Amino acid sequence: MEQVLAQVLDLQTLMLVFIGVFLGVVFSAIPGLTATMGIALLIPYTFTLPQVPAISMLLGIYIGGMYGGAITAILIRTPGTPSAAATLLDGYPMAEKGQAGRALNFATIGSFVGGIISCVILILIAPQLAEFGLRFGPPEYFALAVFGLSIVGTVSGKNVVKGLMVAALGLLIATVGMDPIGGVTRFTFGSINLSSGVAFIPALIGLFAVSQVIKEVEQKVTKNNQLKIKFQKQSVSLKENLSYWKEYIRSALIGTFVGIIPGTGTSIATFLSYNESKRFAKPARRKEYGTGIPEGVISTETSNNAVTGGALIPLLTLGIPGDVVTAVILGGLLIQGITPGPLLFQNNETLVYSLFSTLIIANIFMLLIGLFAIRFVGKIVDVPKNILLPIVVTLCFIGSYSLSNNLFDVWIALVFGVIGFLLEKFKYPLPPLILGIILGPIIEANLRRSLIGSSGDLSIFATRPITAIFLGIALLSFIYPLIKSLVGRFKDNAKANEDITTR
Amino acid sequence: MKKEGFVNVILLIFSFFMLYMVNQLPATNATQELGPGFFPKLILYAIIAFNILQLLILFFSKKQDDSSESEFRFGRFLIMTGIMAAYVFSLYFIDYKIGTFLLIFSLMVLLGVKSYKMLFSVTVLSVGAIYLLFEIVLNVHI
Repeated sequence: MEQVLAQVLDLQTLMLVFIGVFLGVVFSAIPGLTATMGIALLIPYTFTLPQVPAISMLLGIYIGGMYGGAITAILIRTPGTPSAAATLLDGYPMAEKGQAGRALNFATIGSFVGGIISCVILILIAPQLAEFGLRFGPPEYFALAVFGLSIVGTVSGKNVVKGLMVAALGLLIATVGMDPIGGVTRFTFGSINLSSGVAFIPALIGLFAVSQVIKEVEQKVTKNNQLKIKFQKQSVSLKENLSYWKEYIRSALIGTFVGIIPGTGTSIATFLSYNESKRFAKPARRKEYGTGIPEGVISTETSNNAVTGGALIPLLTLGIPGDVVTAVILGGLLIQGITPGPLLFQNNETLVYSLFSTLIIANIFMLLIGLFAIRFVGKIVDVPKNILLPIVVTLCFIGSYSLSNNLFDVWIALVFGVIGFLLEKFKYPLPPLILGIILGPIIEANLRRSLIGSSGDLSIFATRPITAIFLGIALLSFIYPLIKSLVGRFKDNAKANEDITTR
Repeated sequence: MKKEGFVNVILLIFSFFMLYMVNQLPATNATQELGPGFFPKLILYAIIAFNILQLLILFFSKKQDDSSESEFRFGRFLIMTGIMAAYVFSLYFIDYKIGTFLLIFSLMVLLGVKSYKMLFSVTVLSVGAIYLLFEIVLNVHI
């Protein structure tokens, strides 16, 4: 214990964790720059550092990176990272209502709570949970992804059919590129750039940020509406935070659970958490989701930071990275001569618990940086839109380019910006499209793998308990809102008929 | 038919075109139960079904469209998209700093900024900040 404390409370370690968290927040707040990129850029600087400070800095970027995306998602409807895509569902409407300060506060506290709970779970029951994560085979992955897709009903607004249609379009977009089993190229129209599929981050930037700029320009931001959003410093009391304790705990558990399962990612966790938050809400409150309520921000931001602890469980206990960021962290660990796996816990207990402790410290730094930054970054919304929007769109394009130094990604951002604008113009919801693009590859690859494994026997999806439960809930989640939406429309029609006859 | 219905008709035409494309993909082989076309085909059938359902909803719906809210200023949309496309295209030929300067400048003009002082100062500062962040700090050469 003394050794752990000595390593963790070392000034160099603390400073590097702080720098890591700060850089993570900055990187993820800029559209196109990601925590993965930040870690990859900083790995060379860790070569000469001792093990604990080096890995602590990388973990700091990871934790800061999960949070930073929320800032731009809430303030300018531009999710800095995919993990913040769901945050804008209620975050931006809150900002539009003049509650940007409150939204940022909830996002910061949610991220902190999510991170801390997942850290505690990581410390207490990491090996046991890692074994559970490994029980997931292709049918379970398929079922989990379909379950994730079932939230289309939640994020579609009033017209579920439109939501389902857009989600299906997202799934179709996800099929562009190489087929995951046979390697056959599909719908690339001869373009080498499309052979690896549609780049997700430029698509996300285009759909939400570029489309928003096109929308504002189309409506022409005049002096009358250029200062629609006004930032006010708004703190959130402890009492108010405690009133959402169920949201925090539920979202943290969902985030940790999804994080444990390798290959799922934060986007699934945030959308799932948002869906469950809405499902558990009282019927009257449920209708307010998407209009700018704290629960929407808390559920997404708590879950995405909870993924950090979850994703580290298979990484540290089994050496399996849960997502791209942890894969890059794995690289950093190996460079430092640390081989993750069960033996790490037996042979290098001090190092493991030092890393766990720095995770908690990184979360505390994230909270402090977040709460401090809110005072300044919130001012972004005070900048007149006719100045802010051209800068945002330029950052989106340059950020998209910087992802892989490829101009094709900039075209993707532009094309998806136009698609997003047109979809919103005709009142089609955007989040289902993102869900489809995220979940499409997981659904297709695992559906086909499952059926190859079972020689085409569909009963594989009913006989495995985890699969059956997820698919059962997903089926209900698809059918119920669809029927409810159709019945609602027919009732409206009947009412309209009555109105006409009584006139 | 309501204006919205045209979107569904376009999507239906697109779906049938994509179905044609799917049929051009290689057929399944002995080792694979499902070929590369299976999943896209499944999705396309779903899109077609949802489009037909949406068209039926629109056809039987008695409610009037809220057209005042969704007024489409096609000219502004076209100019905006044109400027952005020209910017991306220009990146192949001219220095990104010039292109970025012109993009920010033209968008600000389009958004109604009239003060030359503001136009030049914001544009120059933005290009400088982008150069500093991406080219100097991140070593991203555009």
